[in-house]
Amino acid sequence: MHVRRATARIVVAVVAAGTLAACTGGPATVSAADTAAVVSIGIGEPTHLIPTNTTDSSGAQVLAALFTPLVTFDRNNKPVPAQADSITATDSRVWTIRLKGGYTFHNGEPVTSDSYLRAWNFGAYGPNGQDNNPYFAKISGYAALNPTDPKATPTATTLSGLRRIDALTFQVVLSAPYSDFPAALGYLAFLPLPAAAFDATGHIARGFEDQLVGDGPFQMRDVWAHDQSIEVQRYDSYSGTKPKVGKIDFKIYQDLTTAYSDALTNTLDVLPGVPTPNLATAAKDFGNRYRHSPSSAFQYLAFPTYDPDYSNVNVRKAISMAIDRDQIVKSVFAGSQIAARSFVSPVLPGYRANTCGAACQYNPVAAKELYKQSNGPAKVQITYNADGGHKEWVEATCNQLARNLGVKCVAQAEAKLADLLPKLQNKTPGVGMFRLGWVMDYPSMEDYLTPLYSTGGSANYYGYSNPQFDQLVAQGSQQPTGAAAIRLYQEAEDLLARDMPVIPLRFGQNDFVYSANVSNVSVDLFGDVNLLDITVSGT
Amino acid sequence: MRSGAWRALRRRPVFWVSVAILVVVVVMAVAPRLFAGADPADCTLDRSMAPPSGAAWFGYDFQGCDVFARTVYGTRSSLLVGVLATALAGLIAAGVGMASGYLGGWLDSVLSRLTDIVLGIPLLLAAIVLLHRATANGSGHGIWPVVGTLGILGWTTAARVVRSSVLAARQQDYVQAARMLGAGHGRILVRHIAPNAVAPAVVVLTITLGTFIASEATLSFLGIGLRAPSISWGGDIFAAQARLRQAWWPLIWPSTFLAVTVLAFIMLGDAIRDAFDPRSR
Amino acid sequence: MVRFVVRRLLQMVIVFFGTTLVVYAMMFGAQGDPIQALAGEKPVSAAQRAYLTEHFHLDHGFWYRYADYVGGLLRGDLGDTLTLRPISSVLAGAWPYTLKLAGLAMVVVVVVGVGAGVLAGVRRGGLFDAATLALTLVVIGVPVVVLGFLGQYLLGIRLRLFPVANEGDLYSLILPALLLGMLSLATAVRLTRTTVVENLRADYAKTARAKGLSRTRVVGVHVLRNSLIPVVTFLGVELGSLMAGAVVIENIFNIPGVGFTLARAVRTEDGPTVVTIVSLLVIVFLVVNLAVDLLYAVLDPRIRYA
Repeated sequence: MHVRRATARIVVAVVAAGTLAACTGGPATVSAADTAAVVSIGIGEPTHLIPTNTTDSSGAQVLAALFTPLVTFDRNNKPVPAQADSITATDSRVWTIRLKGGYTFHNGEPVTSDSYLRAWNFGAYGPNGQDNNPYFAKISGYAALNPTDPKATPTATTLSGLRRIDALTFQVVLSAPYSDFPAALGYLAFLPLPAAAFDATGHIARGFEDQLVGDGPFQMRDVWAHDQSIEVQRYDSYSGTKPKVGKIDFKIYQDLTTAYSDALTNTLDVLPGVPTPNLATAAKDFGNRYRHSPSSAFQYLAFPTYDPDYSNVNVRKAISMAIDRDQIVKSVFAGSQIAARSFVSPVLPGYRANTCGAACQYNPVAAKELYKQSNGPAKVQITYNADGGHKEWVEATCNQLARNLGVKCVAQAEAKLADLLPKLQNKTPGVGMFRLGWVMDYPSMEDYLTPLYSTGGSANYYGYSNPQFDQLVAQGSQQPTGAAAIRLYQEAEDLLARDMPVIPLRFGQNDFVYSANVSNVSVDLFGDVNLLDITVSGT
Repeated sequence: MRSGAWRALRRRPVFWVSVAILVVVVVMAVAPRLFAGADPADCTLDRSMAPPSGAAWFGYDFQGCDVFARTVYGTRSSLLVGVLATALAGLIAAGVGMASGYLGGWLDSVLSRLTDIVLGIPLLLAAIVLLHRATANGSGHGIWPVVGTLGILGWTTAARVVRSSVLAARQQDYVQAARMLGAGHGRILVRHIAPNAVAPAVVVLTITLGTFIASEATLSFLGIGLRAPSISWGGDIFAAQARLRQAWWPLIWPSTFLAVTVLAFIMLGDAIRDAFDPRSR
Repeated sequence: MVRFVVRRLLQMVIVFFGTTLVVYAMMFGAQGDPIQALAGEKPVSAAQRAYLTEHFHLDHGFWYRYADYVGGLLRGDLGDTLTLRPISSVLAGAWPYTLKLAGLAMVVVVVVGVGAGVLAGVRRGGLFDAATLALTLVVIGVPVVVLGFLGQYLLGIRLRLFPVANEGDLYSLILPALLLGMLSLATAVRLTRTTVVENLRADYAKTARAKGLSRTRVVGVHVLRNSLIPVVTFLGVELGSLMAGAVVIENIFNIPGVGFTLARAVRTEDGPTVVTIVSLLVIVFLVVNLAVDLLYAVLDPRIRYA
């Protein structure tokens, strides 16, 4: 009897405490149902999760849950401070970054200037072999950490351009003015790391990558189960906007079609990428749970500059005019992509529609005429990588060229892009045109113009080189204001329309589907699911 | 014995049916224009996934190509790859299996271990390396790289089966008797051992033929199979299965042709084996 | 017998090293640019390229790297994948899945395949025989990828009988095991049928029947034992190939097993991972084949090993 009464009192006390705790959750009300429910999101296996080493979209999605960046982006894709309180400069060269107080890492460690300086110096130091190392090249002192001879030891271990002012303020000195620097800071290379991430020798501590400690709205619930899942839960001491769901499981899939089938049976909640063959039935399968949102993806065909067959700009323009972009968008992609008639993505500030002009308008008659006049080759080839799901649209494009230009067109597959690149480097004949794609790192025109079109650009595999273009872009990035920079970038883009080094084909969108279990699902510019807005249905 | 086998063969209806099918298939491979009027390379998205009609008996596939034309023209590559690769694999299997089973001893050990190594190397890996090399200069040599790769990697199962049959046959009384009567190794191998080893080997090889044609499809899928613009059943099957829910006709026809051809080979194999079996006459 | 086993074990060691050499040479020969292959489409930073080149001695010659690899193996250090995860932990996570999957498939093949083959052989020319022939055709005519997707669609989505993807439990492995075993099943059925038919016509079978033994005993004891020899060979080989050949099925059903890991390693030109996995697979083959050869001696007393 006594035991029973005592137990009853304890039970009542516990329930009361629980209800009280639930009520005092903060501005975003937390119901018991929320904390129990798990939202699952489909991703691929990330290659790495240390921010300075992460380049794939799956890793980026997980980092969006675990970390808070310095800036996020508003509806016009302009940067707004997030974990930063303010980012200011007088001359676009010396930037003062002030952090908001009160943010902590998941292990309780406060987020300070050192958290950033530590991580950036680690990423910039050549011998650490971080894949995002080039993003620190704009900071003064980078060369000392990255000698040109990869076997030589760098002369410094920290960037001279990084200066700590106090616990919440630091300064970044760039080697040349760059007005889009605040936008660049939104890229995950610039995320902070806690002191616990490093061991005594300055390398990443063993096991840290499998159980990351970040400063974001979610923390890891369990270690990274490779090829299976990454589980996170809400971080209750988070100072920013709290998410509405309590737990998220990032389920790792090898095959996107399987993930789609799982979403169809409501076993997977969100899939931020629909495989192309399923696009045709997605609307029927999911109804209004199949949506699009703008993304920065850009698909194009490039011409190797060493191939004499395509050296005449009119040949290239004729080929571009013979492609019916709208038909491919409708038939192959079920309207989920957009025909591209400019050289940079529409999500960027400074984008103008139709910069390509007449050369990107479908005109088979004029195309055939122009092609004949400029002695276009009787046989053309489009090379593509077989592992990217491109077979259908490349073959369709080839068929269009064959019909409209009266040529023989071959769609040649290479096993992967890495097999094609050495052929380009060695100037192997017979490659023909080849298909490439680009996704932005951060929303700036410069992030397209430099890697894709400038001499020696990191993605300029085709060898296009125009000194006037290079100069305009360099001048643009040194302008004091974003508006002045954009004016020069646009002039540079006009040169591209004249030279036609590539054929713009399509701009991608984020196509995503979600199950009946969740609501308020949206996918941002980077292709990441918005984790703060998503809710479990019925709550 | 050979004339007896031929007579037995001629009497089986199964033999004639399979030969008839194979003759049709071979003619289709040699002269596709006799069967299909349309041009398989004439494709336009305007007709994407159009269903079967008077103009196109099998309908149109996703790219808008005539499925019937593509299936007929695809016969040549698919058939050549299957037959040549199986012939190569069969030759190697027969040689290795018989030497291994009959001679025994250290040769058996070496060959068996060699079989193990080849078996252990995954088809995917070896295919990628061998075909990578072959096409490194951008000029495919037609079907020979694929035939060679499949043949060199696919003989192992048949070899093991041949070896086990030879091992068992070697112990048979009539073989011992022939030895005692003074017959030489060659004669014993050809007249007594080989016919016993033929039966299970033929069964395995006829199925291997089918898997070779299908393997060609996997290789095409990876971008290292038959180079464009060659047409094959396997390649078409792969392309069609991704959009199966939109249309079934691009998948069903190449699959049916493939299955019927393999059936014909199997029936032929069965008939030959039955004819050679001295116990069934 | 003991000498036989010992000799085979010694040979296994030689084969193991021989295979590692051959496979290593193949990966070496396949080298396009493994570092770029790892990164996919985005350009690789110079810093990471230098780091990986150093870590994996990519700028050294073939024999140096092979010796380095073998040295590590002998010390028990399997090395790292190109993404710098220890290969041993990658394999430790992958093996259980593949073993379960292949094991299940094997059970299906043995029970259903041999059983159906015996029935078909005994009732030669009947409806059952025709049915098994039809099944064989469907399985051969349609590549395993298509069968896999079809099976997943029909049984997983339409009929909701099985889960579409791996959920960590044994039930979700049943459908993939079925599909994985299909081709082996077809071959096993046909092979069993053929040898059963042959042996039924053999003199000893006719004699046994003439002596008055029941048909069941003739088939079950005498014919079966002799028929099983080539079938056992075949099954022994198939177990090994089931494991590596499970690549497609593991991919479709999202099972993070050895086949999938191997395919990904080949695709990303991850030499160390490929060589290690293949070498281990070869050991599995060798052990299985040794078991098969020993089983011969049990099944057919006339076969003797010195």
